Amino acid sequence: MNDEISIAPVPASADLMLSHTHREQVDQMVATMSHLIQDGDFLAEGIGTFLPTAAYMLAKHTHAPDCTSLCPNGNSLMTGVRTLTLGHDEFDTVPGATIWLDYQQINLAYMPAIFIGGRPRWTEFMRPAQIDPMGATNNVCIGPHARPRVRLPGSAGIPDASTVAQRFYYYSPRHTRQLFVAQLDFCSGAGHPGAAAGNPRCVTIVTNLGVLASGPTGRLRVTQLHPGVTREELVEQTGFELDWADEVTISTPPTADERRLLDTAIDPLGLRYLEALTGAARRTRLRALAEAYLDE
Amino acid sequence: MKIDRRASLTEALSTLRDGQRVGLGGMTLYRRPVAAALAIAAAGRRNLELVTLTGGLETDLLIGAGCVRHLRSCYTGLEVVGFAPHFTRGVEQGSLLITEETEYTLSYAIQAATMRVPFLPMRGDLARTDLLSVRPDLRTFACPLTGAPLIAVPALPIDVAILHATAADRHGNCNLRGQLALDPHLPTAAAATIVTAERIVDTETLRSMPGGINLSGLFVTHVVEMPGGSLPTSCMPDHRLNVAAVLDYADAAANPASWKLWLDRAIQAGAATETVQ
Repeated sequence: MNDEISIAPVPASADLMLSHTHREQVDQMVATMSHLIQDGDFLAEGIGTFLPTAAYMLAKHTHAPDCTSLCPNGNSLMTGVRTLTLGHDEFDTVPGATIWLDYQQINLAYMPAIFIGGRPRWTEFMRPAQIDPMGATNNVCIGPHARPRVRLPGSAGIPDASTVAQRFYYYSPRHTRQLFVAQLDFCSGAGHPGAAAGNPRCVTIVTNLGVLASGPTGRLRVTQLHPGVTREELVEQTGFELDWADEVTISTPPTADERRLLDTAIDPLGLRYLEALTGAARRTRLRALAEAYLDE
Repeated sequence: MKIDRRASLTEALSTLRDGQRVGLGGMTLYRRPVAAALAIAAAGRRNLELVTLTGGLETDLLIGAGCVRHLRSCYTGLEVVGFAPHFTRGVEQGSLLITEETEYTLSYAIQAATMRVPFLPMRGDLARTDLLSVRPDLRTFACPLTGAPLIAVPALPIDVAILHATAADRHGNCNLRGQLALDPHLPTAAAATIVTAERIVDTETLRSMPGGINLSGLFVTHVVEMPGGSLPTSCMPDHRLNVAAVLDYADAAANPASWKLWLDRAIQAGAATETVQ
């Protein structure tokens, strides 16, 4: 982890409102997610989820050039790479699309064919608000559904996809006891069915501390620790008893080449770091980015 | 063709009644009918049921203006800017009824309405989440062919669909660019469709635009020329999403005094635009 490699024009850590440690964690997550992508994958992007989108672009730049992206900002199928923007992706994705679809074509044709037909291999990293030991998730509410303590934006397509796809990926830049809970407040993403029939057969979660994936019983177990993270740290930040893989590996850190691609071609504004920010820091950083766009 | 569907926004929206089900075009912060939403707020419509694949600024402002009783969406938020303030408060305080949708349930429901069938069958897998516990209208039944469990997703006919188009002709044919969302499919599921358009052009010009005519005017009832009618959300290729203005919106929505000021100003600005037309 060498500071001199991250060169301009990426803003300094102070401008990103992010500590060096958190910044390194974000780039580690991007590299780890990128390494989970296989060439030829169908990569479905979220909107404003810069972290996985950076990972998709990194994979396409390196070992997986033949992936096709589904860019929801424009609903375009797109090969090739692009630079991340703050909400202006449709201006790149629609003109660069191989085909441009509406949501009925996506939901009534492409997604069922891909999720259930199983071809091409689909990879998408979703961000949940809660995850339980079987890898089931919640993006709907904290507290009772009828009168929640916190209403979350909603589950979008996670209920549709998680119940039929064989593999399901999540990510979170904040591995905490609030995220990993023994009991969900609401299940909007199906977890591993255990001994029963059904999907997903494997849930994988990339966090700022490591990687968890469904074990033989369906319960999540830690398979990877990011460099410098201890087992104790992970246990401390998880709200249920953790299983461990027989061999827990250490994640491969981003290479100098991967860092250079991220900082120059993929995300020179450092949008991927926004996802690790909360509260006033996030607000300040977002305001600065938004005002910079207006001045363009 | 002689049918001229051009109208002012006020004329077009005079057909909208309290309590009706309104389908909103665009997606989250992209090509949303914001000017139309402001005009609905100004007209003081009440108890509307909004249907939108994903709700964004237009949905949240209608909730904040007191126009909405019931919302159907699978996501409502301001994307990178965060939670949609009025939506979040409305559900937490129990003043807003929410029907928990998924991408599929809304797609099936709109398709069923278009096909004039009472429901469309969906695979039964959704039962592995808690969705069915909050959606008693989604009934499980056995497939008459295979016996497999299926879910009946009821049709969702819409009273008035409201879309913002990149361009339209006077007959209501539209060129839609950027995120299409459910837009091409709302008019066939709706009793009436109001289109606001960045510009009204002749049919030949419309046909030559990238993407051509991708929504027929057949089901459009009113077309309103409304440049900037999606702002601050995007309208490709004329307007990029203005994130700074969405941040201003979220800041204003944080307390009642600043919210009233934002809404009054936005409504006045909208009324001024219409007067100029």
